[in-house]
Amino acid sequence: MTLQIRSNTALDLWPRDQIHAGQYSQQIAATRKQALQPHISEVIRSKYAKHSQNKATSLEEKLYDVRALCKIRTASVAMYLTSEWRSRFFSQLDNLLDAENWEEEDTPIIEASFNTFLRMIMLMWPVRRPGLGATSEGNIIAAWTVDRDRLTIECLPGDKVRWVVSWHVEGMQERAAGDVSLTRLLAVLSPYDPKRWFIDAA
Amino acid sequence: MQLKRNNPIPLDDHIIRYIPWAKLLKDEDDNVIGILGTAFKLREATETRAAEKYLSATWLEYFPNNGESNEQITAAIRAMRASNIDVKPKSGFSIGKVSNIQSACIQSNANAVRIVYAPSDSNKAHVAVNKFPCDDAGLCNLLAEEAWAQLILNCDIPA
Repeated sequence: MTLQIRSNTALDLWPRDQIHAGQYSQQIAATRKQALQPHISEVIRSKYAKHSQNKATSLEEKLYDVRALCKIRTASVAMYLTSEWRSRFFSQLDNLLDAENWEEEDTPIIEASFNTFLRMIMLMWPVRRPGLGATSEGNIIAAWTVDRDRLTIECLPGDKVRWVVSWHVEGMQERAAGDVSLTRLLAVLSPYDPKRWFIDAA
Repeated sequence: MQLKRNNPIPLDDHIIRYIPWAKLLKDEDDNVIGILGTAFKLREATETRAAEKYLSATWLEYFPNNGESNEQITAAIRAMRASNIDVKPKSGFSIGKVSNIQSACIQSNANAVRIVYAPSDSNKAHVAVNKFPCDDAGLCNLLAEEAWAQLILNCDIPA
């Protein structure tokens, strides 16, 4: 059985020698299906619970728990990420959710938003990691910048995304924005050549 | 220049806003390269706090300018550090000219926005951006990219 890819665009954005296929394709497809389940598995929850015996109360504890949850969820799709991508992404999470720099009034990243983020990454397969940010309500933000052009995507619960593009064409700046479901994201971004953000120019 | 409470800030003057680390635009290596639009979004209500009714900022020209270009900026940031804002190490501040901010609001059909002097006990140079739309992502991004986009990092201003 050949590996089912949602769209050929995913293949175009990732180096072919890093795409898993062949005799393990069925296993990978099954694992991918499990990883895309909307709710965290009981196995993952039990691992997470060991890190949080008592209910988190301090900001530092809350952020620790959220970092752990995000990393555990990411680990469930680790086979689709290079080790360097994953390692640096974990560093970004550590920096974003650092208690020394987190605003107490802000809600730490919520699980439903991070789930949308992970599914977005697996749909788009960006070679370049996004810069990370967060809203006060706990939605994670992914941002890519090339020169003066900017793509910002706020990941909402329930596989919804809020996207904003700032794009310079022939010396003129264009802006576009919208709220769409994740499955429509690549289609709405297609006029703005999303590969230029997602692929490392080097 | 003396202003009374709720007087509009002069159009040629500037206001500076605190930008938390999570709302700074970063590249994939966490280098700060700008401001995210969410930095200008009004906070929604939570269990412990009512929704924000205005954007907070500080009036730059409230502070004396004795010739050095960064003197007012430094004074304003020190005033914000001394206020009830818990300024975090890796945060930043965004500076915008009042006329540019107003123009951006008008461009986004937020014609009712008013930028007024609103001193508080903890910040005598406090400014309130009133009647700011509560969920206009386009306007927030326009401010972040152009009208309110001059970024100063907290770590670059000495204590």
